[in-house]
Parts: sequence; structure tokens; C-alpha cells
Amino acid sequence: MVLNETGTIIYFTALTPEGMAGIFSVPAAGGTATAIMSGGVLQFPFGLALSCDNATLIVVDLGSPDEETTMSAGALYSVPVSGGSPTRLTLTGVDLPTGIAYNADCSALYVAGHTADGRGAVFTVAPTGGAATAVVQGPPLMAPSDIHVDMNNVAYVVDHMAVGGAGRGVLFRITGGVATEAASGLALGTPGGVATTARGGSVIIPTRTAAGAGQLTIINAGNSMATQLAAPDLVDPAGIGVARMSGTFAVVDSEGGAIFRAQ
Amino acid sequence: MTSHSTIFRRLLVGAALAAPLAAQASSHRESPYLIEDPAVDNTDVYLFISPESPDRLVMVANYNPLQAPPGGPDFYRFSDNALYNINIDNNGDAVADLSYEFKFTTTITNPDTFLYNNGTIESPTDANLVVQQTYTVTKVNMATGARSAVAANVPTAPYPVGKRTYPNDSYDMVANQAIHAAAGDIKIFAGPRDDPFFINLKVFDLLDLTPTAVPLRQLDNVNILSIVLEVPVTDVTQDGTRPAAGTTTPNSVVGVYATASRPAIKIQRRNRPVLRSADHLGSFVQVSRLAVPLVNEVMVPRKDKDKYNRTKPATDVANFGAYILDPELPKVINLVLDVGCPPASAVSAMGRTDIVGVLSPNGTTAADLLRLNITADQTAGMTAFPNGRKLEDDTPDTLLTLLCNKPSTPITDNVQMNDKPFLAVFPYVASPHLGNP
Repeated sequence: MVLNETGTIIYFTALTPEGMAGIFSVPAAGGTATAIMSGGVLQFPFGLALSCDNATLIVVDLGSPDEETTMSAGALYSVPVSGGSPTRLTLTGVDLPTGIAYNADCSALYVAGHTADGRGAVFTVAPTGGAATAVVQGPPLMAPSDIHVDMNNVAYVVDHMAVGGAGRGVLFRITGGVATEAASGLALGTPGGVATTARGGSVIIPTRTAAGAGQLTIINAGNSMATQLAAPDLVDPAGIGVARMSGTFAVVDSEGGAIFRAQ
Repeated sequence: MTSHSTIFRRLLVGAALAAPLAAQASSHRESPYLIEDPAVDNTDVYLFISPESPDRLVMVANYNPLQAPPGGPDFYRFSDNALYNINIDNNGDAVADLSYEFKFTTTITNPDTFLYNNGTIESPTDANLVVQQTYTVTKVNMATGARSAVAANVPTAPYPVGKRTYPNDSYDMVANQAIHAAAGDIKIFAGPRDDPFFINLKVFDLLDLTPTAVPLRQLDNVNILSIVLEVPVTDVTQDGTRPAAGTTTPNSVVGVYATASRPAIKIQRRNRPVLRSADHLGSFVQVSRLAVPLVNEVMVPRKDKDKYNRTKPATDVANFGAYILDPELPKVINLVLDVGCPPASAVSAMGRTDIVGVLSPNGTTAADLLRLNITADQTAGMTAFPNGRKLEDDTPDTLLTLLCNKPSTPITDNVQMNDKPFLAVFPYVASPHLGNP
């Protein structure tokens, strides 16, 4: 999920009552969701990014391309927030993309995914698509999922399968082409989410407690100290989005079928 | 004596009660989800003091039921896209304190053949073995999340394809090479075995327990995938020492349950490389659980069987306590066999508190955990279900009789032993049946 820069609109992926995959918007203050598009080429939209001009959504779709002629999995599409058909972006060198984020000035897209031989990786690619460049590939990354890039172009990616010092479920910080563990033992939801506060001082990840209750794990980006904020109404912490220019966060609960807003 | 015609009439009258039993299975294939995902179907757990040394504890977790041994060319194996865990509660609170995590990796050495092997197999890593599987074992401190490697890249025993693959009765020689001795005096085995569970599966045909001239043991001649782990008892106790003989505090027993977990998302693909025809993403979700045999199978109704498999023992009383206090099975036994199992209220106003007692020995929290006394005086001969579970324990008879609760009328399925003798030494579970004997 993503928010517009002022935090007034939340964009998220979901299924229609008929089971068609789509992209929706809803006022951050609450209200009725509106379908930007549904059905068509989208089968399993997994992640969203919003351009700096708030005009274009980039969506990672895990289900497509549903073709027998390619051995690659997953695709990127651009969709105008005003609606319309998705346009598939060329994405060379990336298999099974799972997360998407713009960098600080929206001059590039960061893509979490896999190399052709199945190694976890993070890439960059032009906003219009093209050949991707690997930023990090292989261990410690295993199966990176959601990705977020802060205002200093530090990338954070959550990885369900990676095992860190405190267990499975790792937050990696990626700078200078190196992924380092920022936190581990995270009971992530699926697909999982990561976001930072507007100035990048804290990283926020929706997680679950050992007993299965929802919570927000807040990690100090400077010293990696973690604190927990209870969110008992959160059943499955599936994702998180943050507005670029405000302190508004939104967390999606895929099992509870709800979106929560936090400021 | 009740005539067959009387039984038939009662079945008609009691159809609402009898119908669920007809479709229930044993610990094998017991839930709506697992019949579609047998590779993670945990069928049985065994827990006993080692017959080779009273200082050692043996845990067996079996998966993937009712394997027809000739079932090639892709014979049965553990799933690469799953976690298999043996979980241990060592302080009696029904919460796992330790877990041994098994993760498997399959390698296809030659993708251009349909064969499982290109020639005879003399070892688990034989070059003729086209489908090879290895695994890692990690011990996890569930309180801190700290993980320690127990073993890595250990080969599983290959499948017992047949006499041409293993000439001169050589399968056991090959399988024994898959016994791994890990640091810390730990023994590990993973691979196909004879299914050690023995039961007359006619019970699932409206509780047909009538004896036959030759006992029908429908689990004869079928294989299972076993994980066998033997560790020093002190590896799993609360403080690393063994409670003194006679201790009856909650930490004088360990409670064990096994699980399997799948990634939350599976996406089917049309055209992907071998072993990657589906993508698996997201956090692991527990989808199978087992400890005491037949709890989920015959005490939990179908509507909650998947829930049982996806929850933890600590919440068993809250989630399933009503089914234990007033179990369905004695009513069905009465309906079909007319043996007069007393009502649950005959035990106490709350119902079958005696069963709750079995599930909470030595002051432990009541839960579906296979619990074993591990005080210093315990020996292999003192393990007898429900104090742990040996391979040879006749648990169906024990549980049928316990559930009926009429001491003068023991209930039996008329099968008292396995089709193959168990081994006196590790891995104890009998060697598997050959596909082509």
C-alpha cells in the first residue's frame, strides 16, 4: 500500500467481491473504497509505489505474466491514479519481483525480487522500466519482500526466509551495495511491510507477537533498538505505507479486511 | 447381544452422529486441508527413553501417509517448501521452549531422465541417484529466538525403489548410511520407513471392530517418511540437568509435539525450471500438528480440524476443551456397538475430567502434548503410552478404552502389533517396504 504525499489518500491492492485483483483508493479519513482498476492482466498484485507527482502507481504483480512462453515470473505495471489500463514495464534481469519503491527523488525504482537462478536480490531500474541493475544479490538476502527507500536513499527490505541473529524474519538495511541486518526474529505478515518516518529516523514494521497479536515494531535507524507498539486489532499485518510529506501511516490487515491509520 | 439389524436401525436413527465417523481418518489424512497437502501431514509422534541408553531421549515425527511403496517415478520425499519441527515444552506450561527445525533441499542431478536412479544405489549420495535430498537441523530457543546449527547438508535415505536398485538386499546398508552423528552426541535420521502405526482401519467403516480370521492391518505394507532424533535427555530439560528420581514437579516431564509449516502464499506457474513450478512466498504458517494420537482425529469435529492444526497447545483448552470434556466417540461407540460407555457426566459435573488429567500429568498445563517423565530413574521399559509413546504401544486400543471409560469392557480394534518388527537400535522404526520386493 502507499499514501499520497499529504497522507489524505491511501492506495492499496485487494480483490473485488468477485475475486478480481485490483488497485483501490480510499480516503485516509475513512470511507468507501474506489476501484482504480480491477481484473485484466493483474492476478496477484503484491506491492505498490507512487510517483512523486502523485500521478502514477507502479504495481508488482506476482501472478503475471501468465504465459507459457516465458520462464520468468512476476511483472511490473504502471497505472494512472486516475484509472485506466495497466501498462507493462520492461523489466530485464529480475525474476519474481515482490516489492517496489521509488527512491527519494523518484528518479529510480527499487525492486525487491530474485535473480534468474533464484537468489534473493534488490535491483534498481528506471521508472519507465528497462534493464535492472542488481544492488545486492544472494545471501544474506533470501526472499526479500516489501521494500522502502528513505529520503537519504537508504533502502530497507524485509525478508521472510532470511535468518538473523534473533531468528527468522529479517529487516535489512541496504547502503553502498551492502545489505546488513537491522533487526531479526520478526514475525512478519504476508507480504509484509516496511516504512520509515518522514526523516528516516525510525523504521516501522507491522509484526505479530509470539502469541500472535498484532503490533508495530519500531526500530531506531541509528542504533537498531526496537520498541513495540501494541496493535491488538491487527490480525494479519500485511503491509504498511507512509506519506512522504506528512506523518501519516497506514497499515493493512489482510485477514481482518481492514486498513488502520496512524499519525 | 445386539443383532446386526438392531445396529442398522440405530444407525438410521442416529445418522447425524454416525455420519461424521464414516469419513474420519486416523492421524493420517485427518483434516480437510491435509488431504490436499500430504507432504506435510504429520501422522504420528513417538517419544521414548532410548532402549540403547537411559540417558537419551528419542523423538520420532512421521509425515506423508499411506505411501504405496511402488509409487514412482517421483517417489515420496519431504517438501523443500516446508518447515518440519519437533517442539518441546520443558516446564509444563504447554508452550514450546525448544524446537528442532528440519529444512529439506532437493537436487535433481540429471533433469533429462524420468528415472529416479540411473543404476544401482550404494549410498545416499550415489551418483546414480537422480533425485537427492539433504537437510539441515537447527535447534531454536523459542524464548529468545537464538538458533544453533545441529547439522547441515545431511542426506536423507533414498526411497526403497526395489530389488534391482538395491541388489542383494542392500537397502538397509544404504539407508543406514543416512544415520548422522552430530556434535553433542546427537543422532539424526530422515527418510522412508515402514509406517509403525498399526490399526484396523475398518473402524472407519462405521466402527467395524469385528475380528477376522486374519487381522486386517491396512497399514501393512505402506511406508511413511520419518524424522528420528535422539539427543541426551539433558539437552531438552529446563536447566540442562535431569530432575531427580521421584520428582513430580511440572518440569519432571517434557511435552513434545511435531508440526509442519508452509509459506503463506503459493503461486502456480505454467513454465518454470524443475522444482520451481510454483513459487512460495511469505511467512511460514503452521498447517499440521500432532502429539497424542487420535486427539484431532476423533475428538475434534471436522469444522475445527484445520484450526487445531494451525494453533498451539497452549490454547487447546480454550479452543477444544469442550470436545474433550464431552467427546463424541463414546456416543458413537454406544450407538454402533451398544457397549454402554457411560455418559461424560458420570465422571464429573464438568464431564471427562479424567481425560484432562491424562493431558496434564504432574501439574502441567492441560494440552495436547505427548508427555514423558524424564526423571533420572526413567528407563526405556518405563515408557508406556500415555507416559510417552513407544513404537510398539497399542494406542488405538488404549484410547478407545479410555474414551469409552467402561473398565469392564475394553475396546479393541483386534490389531495388536505392527507388520514389521521394530529395530533394537537407532533409528528404531522398521525399514521400509521395497517398491519392487
